[in-house]
Amino acid sequence: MKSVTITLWIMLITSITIGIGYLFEDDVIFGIIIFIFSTVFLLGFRELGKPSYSYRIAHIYVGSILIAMTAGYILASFLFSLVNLIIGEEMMSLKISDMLLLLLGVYSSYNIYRLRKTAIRPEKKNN
Amino acid sequence: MVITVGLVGNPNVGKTSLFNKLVGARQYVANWPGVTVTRVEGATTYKEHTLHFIDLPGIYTLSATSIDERVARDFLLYTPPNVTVVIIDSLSPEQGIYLLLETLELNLNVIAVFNVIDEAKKNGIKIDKSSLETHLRVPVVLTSAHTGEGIEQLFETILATFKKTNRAKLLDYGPEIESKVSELENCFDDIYNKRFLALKLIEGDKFARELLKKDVDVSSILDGSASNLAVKIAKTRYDYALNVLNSAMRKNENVLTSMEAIDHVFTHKYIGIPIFFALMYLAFNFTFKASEPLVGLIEAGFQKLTDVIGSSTMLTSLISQGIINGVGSVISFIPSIFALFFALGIMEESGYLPRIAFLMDKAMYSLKLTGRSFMTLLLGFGCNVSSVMAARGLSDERERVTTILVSPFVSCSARIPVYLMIIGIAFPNHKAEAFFVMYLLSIALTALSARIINKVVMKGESIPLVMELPRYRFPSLSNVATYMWNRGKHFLQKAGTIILVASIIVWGLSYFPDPTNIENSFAAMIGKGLQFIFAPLGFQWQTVSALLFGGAAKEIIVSSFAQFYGGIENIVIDPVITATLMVFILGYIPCFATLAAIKSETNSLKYPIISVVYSLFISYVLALCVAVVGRMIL
Amino acid sequence: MRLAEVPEGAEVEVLSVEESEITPRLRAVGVLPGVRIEVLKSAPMGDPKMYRIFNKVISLRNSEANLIEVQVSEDSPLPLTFVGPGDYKVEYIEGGKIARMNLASIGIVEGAVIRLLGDRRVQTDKGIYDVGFGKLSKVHVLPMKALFKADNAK
Repeated sequence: MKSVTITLWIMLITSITIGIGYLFEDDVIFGIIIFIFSTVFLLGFRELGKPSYSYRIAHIYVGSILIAMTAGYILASFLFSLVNLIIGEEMMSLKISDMLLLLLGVYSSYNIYRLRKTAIRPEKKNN
Repeated sequence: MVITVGLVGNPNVGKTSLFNKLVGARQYVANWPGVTVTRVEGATTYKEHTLHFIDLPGIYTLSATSIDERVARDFLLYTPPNVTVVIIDSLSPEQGIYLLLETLELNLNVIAVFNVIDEAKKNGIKIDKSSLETHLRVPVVLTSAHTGEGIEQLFETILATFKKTNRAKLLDYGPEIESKVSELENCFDDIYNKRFLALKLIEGDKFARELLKKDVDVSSILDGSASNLAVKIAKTRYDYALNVLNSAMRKNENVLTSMEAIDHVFTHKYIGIPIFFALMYLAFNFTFKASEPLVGLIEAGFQKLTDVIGSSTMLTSLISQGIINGVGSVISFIPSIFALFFALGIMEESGYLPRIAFLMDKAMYSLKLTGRSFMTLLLGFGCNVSSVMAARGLSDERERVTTILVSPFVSCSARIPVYLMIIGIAFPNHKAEAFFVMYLLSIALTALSARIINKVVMKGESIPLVMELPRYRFPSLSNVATYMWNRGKHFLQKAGTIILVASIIVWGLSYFPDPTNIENSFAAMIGKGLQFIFAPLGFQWQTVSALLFGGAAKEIIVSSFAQFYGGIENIVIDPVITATLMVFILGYIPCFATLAAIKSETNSLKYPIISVVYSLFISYVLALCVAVVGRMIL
Repeated sequence: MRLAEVPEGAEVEVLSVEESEITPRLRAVGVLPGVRIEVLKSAPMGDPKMYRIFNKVISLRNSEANLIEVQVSEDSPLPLTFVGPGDYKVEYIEGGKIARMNLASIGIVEGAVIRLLGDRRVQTDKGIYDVGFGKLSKVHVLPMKALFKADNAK
């Protein structure tokens, strides 16, 4: 229970920070997207009172998947841009927000891994 | 020995994954004759036999109310395969066994496969295979398409069953129904499976009526009690299914509610739709922006090639401007198309796609479509071809055809350079607003066309939803890759040839008869000749010729304009005509690639022709309205 | 009542299905007299809704669900806004932490026994309260007499 709260806070604060970072770098739309994903974590706090384990972790699980996918997208864009070097164009430069996002992506993947292992044990439905 | 094996089952049971595992990459995707239903076949060899697999559409029943059900049913009824494999989801077997019982009524050689056995075990479900075999009276194989478990055994069972001649005993529906069945059996010719058809007739199957003997009137036999009997027949099957499962399957009381919890977020009242839009933005960006470097690389390569060859002589000009340009533009499509299908494949494999349909269904209802086609049409914003091809995945024939016909009105990315050019000329200070208006117009036109097409072509029938929401699963990369490869390859084969040919024709029309002056070319002549049609809209011949070329591919409009005017800077068009032009370009004709896709997906010439005629007509009318209103305002 | 009218979280039993184009498919998927259906979730605008039939989750539009006549199962929890006055046990409470805290402060928690009065006020072990419609609809309860029956049957 406590670890759920801590994880929610970490994901929430970090993702909001990254979102703000993107806003400062004038990438407004991407910032909004990150904020949408932050809201997933924010809404996760509402679920903490519920007796069902899977509802409590659902927001972390889904939110982490979303963040991991976004980080993957940045990574893929970066790797594809390396091709530009061949034709003499510039490759994509990774800004601070991008790197923070990649880091959060790693942590998200860890969350997903961790939660999948515990969720595999079947859960009783409404006693 | 060639053994034909038909794969039948509910949607979402892992039939396609199983098919991929059985057949590998040797798959062939086509259409069932006369319809837009996908037909997937594949073959493989096992112990000196050739197994020819046919993956039938996912269905819940052999009572045909939709074209998918009819196609599957007709295949089994008229051209039964040597062996029929009914695939059942171990975690939700009830509906699967219902279907199994129906296929047994067709007197087919059946094997029951319980798939996803690995997940069943993880959930603590115990399956007693021999008990299943005893009660279902068919061979049973437990498989997991994911881990490969049971596949070998399935092959063995297919070979063993192939030689079987006795069939499982049929369900007894009780005296009341059985007597009606006997009466009705006499109304069918002997060549058909009479019992099956009699039962279907009672169940309200309209296609079964078509097979009755001539001049036979069944209304006295069927009378008003038919629907009660239909319910009784269905109940008998389900009671049997539940009994079988009771004795053969042992579940813990534990039920994984993880799917519900995840759906709680993805279909959340407030955040569900924003999440979807965010994911869509990422998917589109991944497709177009991320793959941009790859496209750039390819284009640079082709540019180098054209420079080397030059265009001094007719032959070199043909090669560099006609052929290489054509091939180059097709190939530069490749990264985006494959990336698009990769993203789509992930959404489908993970189980997210039906959630999108679930969220968007209400909005789509007013278009007489369902939420399923929302995603399909959304793809059109990238490239109309992909949305025409993605329509394959829709489960209702009417919806497929409507979506395919409506796709060209979605403003694809190829039109963006054209809009940019035109807006730059006439509305340099209102670029963003003009763009926004264009996209709004595109959506409005799509919505309007959906309703018109529904009224005219589909006779106003609305399409039901009744959609299953499958469990979420981690997308299997091999399945996504197969999906991506099949779709992408299809596109290249179909669109590639058309675009190439169109490129050469475009080149020819502008090169001949006078390579030095484009004003004397055939293209210009055609443009001048047709100009009178477009006079009410205020188009010059250069515009008409450019639009002509734009039929091949919208991007060509820009370069054509440049050629005809000798440079974009020289173009001066007044705002009203510009607005008229933009509205006209919005939907005047689907590009050749899209037309080729429409033809291959609908398997007929009728629909591409309808598409061309309708788009020309409505674009002309709309453009005319804009021209008239514009003149009045200004 | 019609399936489309049933609130989220409730379980119902099918009574009958009207004939229509989709009825054969509904029957094939398990919508038959006597079969239990659980109402899971509705889309943001209330249409369509998700239903669990046997072990599959099927989504139906309200127009499609309206073809199905059902009755609420005896042991199915219902929101307080859906039931008449009487004694109930709280099965579960929808909603976020704040709503749950507010309800808890007046004695409405999972497992508590409460009484719904004729004027829509709620009597708990902490007193009698006026609970707004919104909060009331989040409290899912089981009638006490159903529980008595189940206990007696054992």
